[in-house]
Amino acid sequence: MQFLTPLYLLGALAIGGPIAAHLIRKVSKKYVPFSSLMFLEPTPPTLKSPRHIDRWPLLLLRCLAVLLFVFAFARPFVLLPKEEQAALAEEERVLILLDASASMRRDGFWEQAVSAADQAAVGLGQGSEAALWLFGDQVQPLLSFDAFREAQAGQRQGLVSSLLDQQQPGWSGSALAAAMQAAAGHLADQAADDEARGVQPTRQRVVVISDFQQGVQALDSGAVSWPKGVDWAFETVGADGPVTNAGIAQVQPADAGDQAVIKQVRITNAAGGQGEQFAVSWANANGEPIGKPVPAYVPVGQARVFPLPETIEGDAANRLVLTGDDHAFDNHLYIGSHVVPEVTLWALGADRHDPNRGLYFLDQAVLPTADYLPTLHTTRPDQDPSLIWFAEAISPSDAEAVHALVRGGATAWVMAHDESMVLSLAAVLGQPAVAVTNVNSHQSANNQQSDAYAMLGEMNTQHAVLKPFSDPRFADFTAVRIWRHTKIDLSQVEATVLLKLDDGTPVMWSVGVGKGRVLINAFGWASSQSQLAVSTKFVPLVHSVIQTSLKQPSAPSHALVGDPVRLPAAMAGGRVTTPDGQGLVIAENSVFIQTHAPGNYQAAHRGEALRFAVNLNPQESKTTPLTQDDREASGLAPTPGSGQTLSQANSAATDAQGETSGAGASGGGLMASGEAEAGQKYWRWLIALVLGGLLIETLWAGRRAVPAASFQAVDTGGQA
Amino acid sequence: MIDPATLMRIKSLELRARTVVEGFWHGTHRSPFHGFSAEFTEYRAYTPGDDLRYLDWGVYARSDRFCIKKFEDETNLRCYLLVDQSKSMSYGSVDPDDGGYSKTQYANTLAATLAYFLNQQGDAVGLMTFDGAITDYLPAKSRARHLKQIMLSLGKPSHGRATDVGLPLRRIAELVRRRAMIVLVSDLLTPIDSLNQQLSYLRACGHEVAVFQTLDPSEMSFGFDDAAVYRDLETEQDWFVDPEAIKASYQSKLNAHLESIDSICAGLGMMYQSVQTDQPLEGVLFDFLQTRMRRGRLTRVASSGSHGGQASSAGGGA
Repeated sequence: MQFLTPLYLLGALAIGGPIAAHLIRKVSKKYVPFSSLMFLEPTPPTLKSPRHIDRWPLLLLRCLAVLLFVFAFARPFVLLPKEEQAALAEEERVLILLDASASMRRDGFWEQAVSAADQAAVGLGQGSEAALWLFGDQVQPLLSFDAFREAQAGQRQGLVSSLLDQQQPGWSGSALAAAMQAAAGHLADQAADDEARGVQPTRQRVVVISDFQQGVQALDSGAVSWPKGVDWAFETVGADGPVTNAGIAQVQPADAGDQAVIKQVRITNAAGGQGEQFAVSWANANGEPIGKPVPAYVPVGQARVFPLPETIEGDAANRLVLTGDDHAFDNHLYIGSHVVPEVTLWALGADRHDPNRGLYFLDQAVLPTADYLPTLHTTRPDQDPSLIWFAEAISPSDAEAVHALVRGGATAWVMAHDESMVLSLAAVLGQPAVAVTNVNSHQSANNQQSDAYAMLGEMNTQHAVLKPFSDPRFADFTAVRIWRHTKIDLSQVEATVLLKLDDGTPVMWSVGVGKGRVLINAFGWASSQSQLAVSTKFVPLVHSVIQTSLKQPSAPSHALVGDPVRLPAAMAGGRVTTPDGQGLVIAENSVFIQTHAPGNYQAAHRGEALRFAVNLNPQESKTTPLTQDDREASGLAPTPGSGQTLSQANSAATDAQGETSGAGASGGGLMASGEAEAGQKYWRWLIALVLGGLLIETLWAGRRAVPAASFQAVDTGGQA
Repeated sequence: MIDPATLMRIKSLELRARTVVEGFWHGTHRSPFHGFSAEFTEYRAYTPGDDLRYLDWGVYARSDRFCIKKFEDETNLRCYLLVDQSKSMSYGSVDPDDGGYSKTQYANTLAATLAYFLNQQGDAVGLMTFDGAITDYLPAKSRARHLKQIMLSLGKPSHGRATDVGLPLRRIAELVRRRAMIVLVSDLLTPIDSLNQQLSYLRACGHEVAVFQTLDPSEMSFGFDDAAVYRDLETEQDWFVDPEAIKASYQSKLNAHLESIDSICAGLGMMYQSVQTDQPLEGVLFDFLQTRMRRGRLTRVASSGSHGGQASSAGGGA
């Protein structure tokens, strides 16, 4: 017999109460009214000899009730050998969610997590089933309920541990919320399947095993309502004492076009540690510091920005190492080569210096950014342009050329603000059934003060071009007045409407043509046409159009583990050499997704080479465990039906193992105390016995009680 | 003298008072007591039918003339009876079925007797009954109808609980501006911390104060034998008490309490009389009048010395 909360056993001392009550010499029940007690003093009660205690059975009943009550609070349970326990245990479905993020690479954490997962799977009943999922940024199922069911009964106990023996924590972040939602959804599906099959619903439980550090992506409080019937248990793994951990991350440069890319690093010292003095230096291929380090003093729980160490020529300048803390998993920062792609723009038939034309404003708005270096040509460039723009009717040959470029993947942006554009537009679209009609109601080309104007009323922010305006803060286009626009009939074309006027007239479309697309505007932004060019929306709109027209997205200067890296299109089909020397083929869409570990990746194809760096998610360096309040606010508190937390259960199980191992060979492999107690729930019977005993005591004592003498007040205060 | 137990069987309070007073007169047939307000004014010639008690034999001896001493009714004597009606006063050690009565009954009869006696002499009598608060107040008047009101007021059943002696003393001092006699009838089973201060104030106002402390015989001796739960009638607090164990301590504390009251009254020049409820009321009245007469002589002597022989208007004695 074990007790889950043995401290409550101290309450057994309360049996002294009934014993003392029975020992006290029965005082007279006779009441004597007296005028005043001011000259009296109470006589203390005297104790009888234990030999003279009367009503022994009542005393024993009272003592028994007290003891049973105390035992019930101490939560007794019996630890049985696992075979017997498994036979007795309630059938349940347990999904073990095991954190395999980078922060679990700390010394001893993974071993604790594996042990906890093993404990959660051990001792399940005969009809119970378990599944095991690892999670980082993504969920990785290791063992399904079906596989567990199909496994032989004798093999189930070692199944989880054998699977985990082959696993190591990854380098990704901890998307805990997504993993919990996926687990809850999976169990809900399982419950629905049970219901469809007419099977009695089983108890379902999710055991989340993690370090629950501050960097986990947990839920907002109350953001999710979990399916009914799913209990949550949370097992925390962690270090025993205070541990210093600092992480290093790069500071993204603010100025665009700067090829030096990184000039500073940010060092974060996690709260709860002791060390505050660190050093940053370049590292060799083995990760060992070389060169003169930069000393870095970072107070506990804070972050500081430091300059890079003095540059070292050669390959060494692609990796920084942080020293001075206890955990090395987040001490390396990899620096890749940063190549900003060049973008070619072709603006047809216009003078870029004439302020009355739209090109004048476009030329002003096309600026180099961190993502691309644009070049605007008014004549056809040698290199195929990514974006072609025109606001006046173009020659048929040019229209034919533009159409061909669009079919090849370029984007054409046509300002069809006049009926004269209809032929050019039809040619670019490759669709003759296009009608462009001038709208006269707002025509006031030379009178911008006219009250007759239109405003933009509705925008399709789901489209990539207008997505930057999806935030309501940036979605106010009411300052843009349009004096002149056309009505374009695109009924024969599969077009997506991007903008509408306040009267519902569409004024901007996106039409897919071949691999590219054509953006059509029914109004221009020249000063005689609208105020778009002089509004704050113009530059973001132009930037968004250029961004979406990029044929060769750049390799990011920095990527995090698990992020897909979009390589230049020319690299498609090439190979990427991972930090561990593995060679992987680049997919046709030139997106490389196997960024599973931090390090420098080398991409090569047809003589072109590109190096990009993949780093650890900085959130993983926030290794301070969540406080209890934070956990409750994030919905990380165990549900009442989940039984005891496993950490408590582990310690109790360890004690129990020590005691029962001497009794027999079957002492090992006992289920956790909390689980055992939750399954047995002897306390309910004890409480029922207490209530029954108290009922008998009440009846008995009431029947045997000596009737108290009635109050013999000599109240003769009234007079005749 | 009439046994109080017998007296209390008379239902009418007025009748009780009359019985006591007439018995008193009867018993003091040749006594010189005439109440408080009999004051000599002048001589007049004797006419047949005059009461020979008022014939001045000294004048007759000197002048051989029959002269009758003429008395004047004292109209400025006012007496206020302050009667405690608290719960502790409802205590009586003898069961009513066995002819027992409470301290309230005894105190009311005492007050009624004094009222009747004074009213018979034409003195103005007022009444204030109190417990934790003042429950009834009648101003001092000398009409016969007023006496009935006093009797009715004293006959009301009491519902009081705690005792606050200070309150009626303060209140009477506020209400009575003219010099008067204040008679306090209470068991005084209450802390007497402020009693000295309140009584001093009354004396400073020129009032003459008399205190009757009525106590049950069992309160004086605590003559209980059985250990039992004793319940305080005022606070309803229960204490298990073994009389054998605490009797000596009780007597000691009670005596100290009584001595404190006695010393306070003596210090202030007041009449104090501890009365047990088994004492005949005539004897109590006799003792009171006797004490007062003696004190009146003392007062008169003192007054003559300081005021050139002017008689004290409140001085008593025939």
